[in-house]
Amino acid sequence: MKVLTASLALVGRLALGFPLLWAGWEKLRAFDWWFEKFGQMELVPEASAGVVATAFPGLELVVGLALVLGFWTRAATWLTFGLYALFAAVIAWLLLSGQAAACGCFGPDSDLIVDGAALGLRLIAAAAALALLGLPNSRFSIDALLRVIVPR
Amino acid sequence: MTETPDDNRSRLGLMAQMGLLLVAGTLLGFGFNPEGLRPRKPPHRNKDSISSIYRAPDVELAEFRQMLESGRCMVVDARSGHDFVNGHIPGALAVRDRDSNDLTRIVRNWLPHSGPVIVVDSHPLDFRARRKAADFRLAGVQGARALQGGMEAWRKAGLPLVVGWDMDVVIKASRR
Repeated sequence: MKVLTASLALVGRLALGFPLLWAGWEKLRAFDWWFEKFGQMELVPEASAGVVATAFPGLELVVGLALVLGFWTRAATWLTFGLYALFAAVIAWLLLSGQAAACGCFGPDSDLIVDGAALGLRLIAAAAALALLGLPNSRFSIDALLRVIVPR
Repeated sequence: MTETPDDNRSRLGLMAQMGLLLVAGTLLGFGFNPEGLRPRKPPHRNKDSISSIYRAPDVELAEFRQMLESGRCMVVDARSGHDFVNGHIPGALAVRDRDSNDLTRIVRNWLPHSGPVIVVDSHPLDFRARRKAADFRLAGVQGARALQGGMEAWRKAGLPLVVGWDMDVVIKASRR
């Protein structure tokens, strides 16, 4: 049973972490495109749009990487929950304010658009992140490795 | 249940780790784009795309209403989000994207049957609507046109408006 839950935790970490890692990387790779797109969405006041658009992809990348590697797993999982919940809220807001928009989540080459499926997936991911907090950490993580090297 | 010092310590540790991850992510973003704090110039448009804005044909209100009744056109609102929420044409979508690939994706998903795209603005010269229609044409949507007189003409004709959040768009988005 313990092996099963630990394996589930590993799969969950990878399934939730890789999309964040990929999304962050794609945005940083095509930063000018992302910067313009973020401004067009009118999500935050114009004065702060530059700061948010600049900080955001790095944040996705770091949180995604921490989750995939299992480094500070609990903190990374809480942040992952926060990010997916935020994405769901943004998509819901875009739809409620009548916006038809290309998603922009995975860079300029991604075909995804803002729609009901995108909202549903983010809500499922946020719920999965919460569920992940209740599972024991897998042995395949930096946290587990650190516990072996530096026992408490 | 009482909280032990260990609980508090682990909670503080968790918050510190979250804070450090947030800081690391932010620093990474600014490392990739140190100029992120500076405002950027709008993207360059070549002369062809600017002149095509003015060459574009527009559509009169009467013809536009016929198109709406046939239900085969896509109405795009080019105004700000604030103006849109304060009153827009039923069924209109606010499209802020300008990138050709993004516009193609939007049309493919929201207008599956081929039909014209009509863009609406509130400005008397319909500048934003013409520019947005030009963006759509550059993205390959040949039938994109601006509505003559924009929202002012629509309001003056006493035609219906949707005010506030548009649940219709959410419902349509979840059905697709």
